[in-house]
Amino acid sequence: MHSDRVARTLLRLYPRPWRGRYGDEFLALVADTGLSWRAAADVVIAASVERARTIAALLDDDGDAPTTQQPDREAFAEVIGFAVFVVLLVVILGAMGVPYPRWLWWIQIFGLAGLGRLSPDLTLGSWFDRASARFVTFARGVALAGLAWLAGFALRSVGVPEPQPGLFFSLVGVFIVLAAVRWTYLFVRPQLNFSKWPVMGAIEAGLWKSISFGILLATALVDAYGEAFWDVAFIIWMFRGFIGPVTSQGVARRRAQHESIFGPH
Amino acid sequence: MKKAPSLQDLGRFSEPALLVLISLADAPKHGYAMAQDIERISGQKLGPGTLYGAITRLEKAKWIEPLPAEERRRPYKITSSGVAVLRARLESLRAMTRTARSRLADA
Repeated sequence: MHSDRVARTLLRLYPRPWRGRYGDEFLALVADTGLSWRAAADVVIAASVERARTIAALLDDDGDAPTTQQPDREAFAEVIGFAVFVVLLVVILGAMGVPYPRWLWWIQIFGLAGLGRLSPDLTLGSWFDRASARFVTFARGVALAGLAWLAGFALRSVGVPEPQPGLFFSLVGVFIVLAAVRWTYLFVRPQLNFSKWPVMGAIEAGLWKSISFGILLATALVDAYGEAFWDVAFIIWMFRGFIGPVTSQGVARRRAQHESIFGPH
Repeated sequence: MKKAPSLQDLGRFSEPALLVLISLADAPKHGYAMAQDIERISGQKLGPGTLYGAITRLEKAKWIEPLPAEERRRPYKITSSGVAVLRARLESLRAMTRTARSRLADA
């Protein structure tokens, strides 16, 4: 194998901050030891582990990932790149006859495309890490919907009746009103106290997650294959996205990260 | 009470990390010297990815620290907390070996 050229190519599998820190000495090591197929496979596995750690740090928003100042042109290219990916996905799914994504999901998708630009607190790695984080976030939303759909299918198959429309819409309506009131209170109260870190207890957060998943399940029963299911799935997915950051752990993470960038608050 | 960090916390890199610490116990070494030393003392040939995976984690844990680079090769030295972690790990291995030996003797 042409060790140096291959080593440089393999090095690109690592996250950019890692390459910046260890790249030179890593290449020197490979130049000294040579690069067998076995060593190359070892590098691929180790680089995948480093990538996974960076992506996990991005998704957890835990401040472990290195910060980069992203140039506007690069950020714009990323947003366009992700949008092109989504358009291709939709065209392919459409050609396969899958009615996805519904219009609300488009908003989600383009929201993800802007991930990082819209949240200056986020610490971001390389473009590959950000793209992977977007993809995983997107896949998570779809997986949640898929899980509820499968659970709904299973319940139907064992004879669980679908909720009456009146009951179902009342349930959804009560949920939306309660969530709106609670979230308004949650965010208004800290403003009155001159704090930007609202906190929700773990039990309450778990309760909101359970209720929201229950509603999704009920939707899967009411509208087995339909468009309403995907719409509700989107709303629930967005709603669950609000819960994590306001739990005590979420607030601690966000606060530590904010302070690491902007100084003590 | 928070558990003291140990080599086992490094997951799949815990054994390579132990070998790196043993290699650095007598003197600072750069990557290639470490790889050769580890092969000599353990018979294991660590791949470059595994070796640098271990180095990354050991440095993050402050159990080793980098010295100024010599050309492109950067030597590392073990820190005092690295020595403590290595001692603790060797002690637990010694206890495990003692137990295994006594059980084999009974078998």
